[in-house]
Amino acid sequence: MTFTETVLLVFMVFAAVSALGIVFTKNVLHAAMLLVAVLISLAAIFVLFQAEFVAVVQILVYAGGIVVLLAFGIMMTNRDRSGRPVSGSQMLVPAVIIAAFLMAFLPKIVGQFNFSTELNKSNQSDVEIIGIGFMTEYLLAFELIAFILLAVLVGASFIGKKQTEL
Amino acid sequence: MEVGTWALYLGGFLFVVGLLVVLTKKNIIFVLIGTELMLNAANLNLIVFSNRWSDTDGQVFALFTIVIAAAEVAIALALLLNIFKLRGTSNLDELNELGH
Repeated sequence: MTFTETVLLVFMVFAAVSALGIVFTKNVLHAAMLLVAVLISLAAIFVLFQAEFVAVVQILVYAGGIVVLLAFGIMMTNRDRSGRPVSGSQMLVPAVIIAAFLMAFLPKIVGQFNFSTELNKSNQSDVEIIGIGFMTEYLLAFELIAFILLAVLVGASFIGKKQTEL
Repeated sequence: MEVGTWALYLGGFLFVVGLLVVLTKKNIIFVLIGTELMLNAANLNLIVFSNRWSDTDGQVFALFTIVIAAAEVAIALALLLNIFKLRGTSNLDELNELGH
């Protein structure tokens, strides 16, 4: 087993264990912190799969932005009578049956793909290729997603402001 | 050692765990965290196949997914704050009325 494979395996186990922790924890704030653990180990896995730019964006946007928003939402809203941000589970048996059903079909699908034993390495910088792609092939999608983000932020600030009587 | 296959298994596992969180938890924020897990599972698969075929298209789509996820969370939390102000709860079982 090479060094890269060992590191990859460690981060994969860490991501899987943290994700399972989200299912079993009752505290919403703990779940948000476990989500950070999943996101950071996924960023490490992205780096090992030669996607450094996506890894950096993952840490900046997810761990830095989305989780802060989630923590903000938790602290603003979730209080039970004891004052702790806890929440229970329901319908556990049917959900586990559905999840196990889905999980049982995975090996069949994943087994179809042949992967070489080594990771592909590119010589050119991926950031360069992605940047050129955004400005040529994916220009329309890039501009549309920028517009969507603008519309969402304006909409969120409008919904979030103090409501006046209609 | 086929590291790509391991990563696909991890992606599937994360998706199933996210689904489990979405189905079982009562709290809106838990459900949001579950959807984030599922989106990340999709991202992982995109990155793995991007590496498999030495093509950056997968990374471009992963970036689009990340932006969509950020937009989703921003809107959902703005709505959640209003719902909490109006109803005083973030439990999905208690939010079953349309009117005031």
